[in-house]
Amino acid sequence: MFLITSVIIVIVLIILKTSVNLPVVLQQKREMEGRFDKEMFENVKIESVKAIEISYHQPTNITRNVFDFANFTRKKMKERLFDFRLLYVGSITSKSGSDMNVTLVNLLEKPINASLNLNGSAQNNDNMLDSTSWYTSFVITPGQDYILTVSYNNTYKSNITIQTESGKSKYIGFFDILLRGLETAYKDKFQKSYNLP
Amino acid sequence: MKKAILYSLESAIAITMILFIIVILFQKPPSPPEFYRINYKIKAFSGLKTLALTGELRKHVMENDVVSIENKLSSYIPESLNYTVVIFNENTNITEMPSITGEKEVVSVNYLLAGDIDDYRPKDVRIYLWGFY
Repeated sequence: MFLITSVIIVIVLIILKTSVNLPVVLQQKREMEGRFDKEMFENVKIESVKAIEISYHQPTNITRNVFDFANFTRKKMKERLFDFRLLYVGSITSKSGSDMNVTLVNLLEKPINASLNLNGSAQNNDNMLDSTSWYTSFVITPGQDYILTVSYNNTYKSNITIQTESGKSKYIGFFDILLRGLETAYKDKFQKSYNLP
Repeated sequence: MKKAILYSLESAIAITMILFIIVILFQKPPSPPEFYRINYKIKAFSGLKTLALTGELRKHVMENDVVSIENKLSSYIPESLNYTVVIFNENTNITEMPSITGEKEVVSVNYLLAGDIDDYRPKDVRIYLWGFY
């Protein structure tokens, strides 16, 4: 009688312990995986910026290298079942002249109706396919500050502050990055400015 | 009298059984194997990240020098584990792939690099880890 009761108590204890532990274990595992995914996201961010910095001496290659590195990252992340998306704007002003050359890169995995607006002067691209770039230019007055607004599909809008200086060439890189894993997603939006040689 | 002894013996066995199972169940639980794996991955990644911050990883990767990377990673990876570093470009490996046989599980960690100053050449550095048992 005592033995039968004790066997029942033991079974109940095991069931209780298992049901209490499982969610805790799963939660801890998820947190650790999330930490690891965040490290990968930071790696992608750091190296995307690095793609600008290592191309510093060849300003005409900067945006192309960032675009290429984004495609490289997308491919490598897909191999690890991560979804990498990027909207990138690269703008360059030359020392002499009054043009601001702007390139928009779409790696959002969908076609977009993109628009670039520099202090009220707008340019549109109605069918910008995924994994393509769009180059355009605006006339500026060197020395003035500008707000470049990038938008698409009437659902997204971001402002990029651009300070120009006469006699100086500048590069601005704006990143909107998303890295989504099976259970985590990390997103960041930032811009970097450089005085070019 | 005989019955009383039998009851006592039965209750003693029952109490011992319950106490034993309580001790087993409520002692500090050992980490499941998945925890070890993700922990090793975090440690290996942390090694790559540290080498990247000091600039050593970039230098060695651009020179395809996996031996130096492996040596510098030794303090981040437990001695009981086997590991090797392989460098990939966009499409394929450019240093030798390890030949791993009879392993139930191999995990890998990768770190991306855009290149070095005036030398844009994106690379994917991977550490393969095995020998978890």
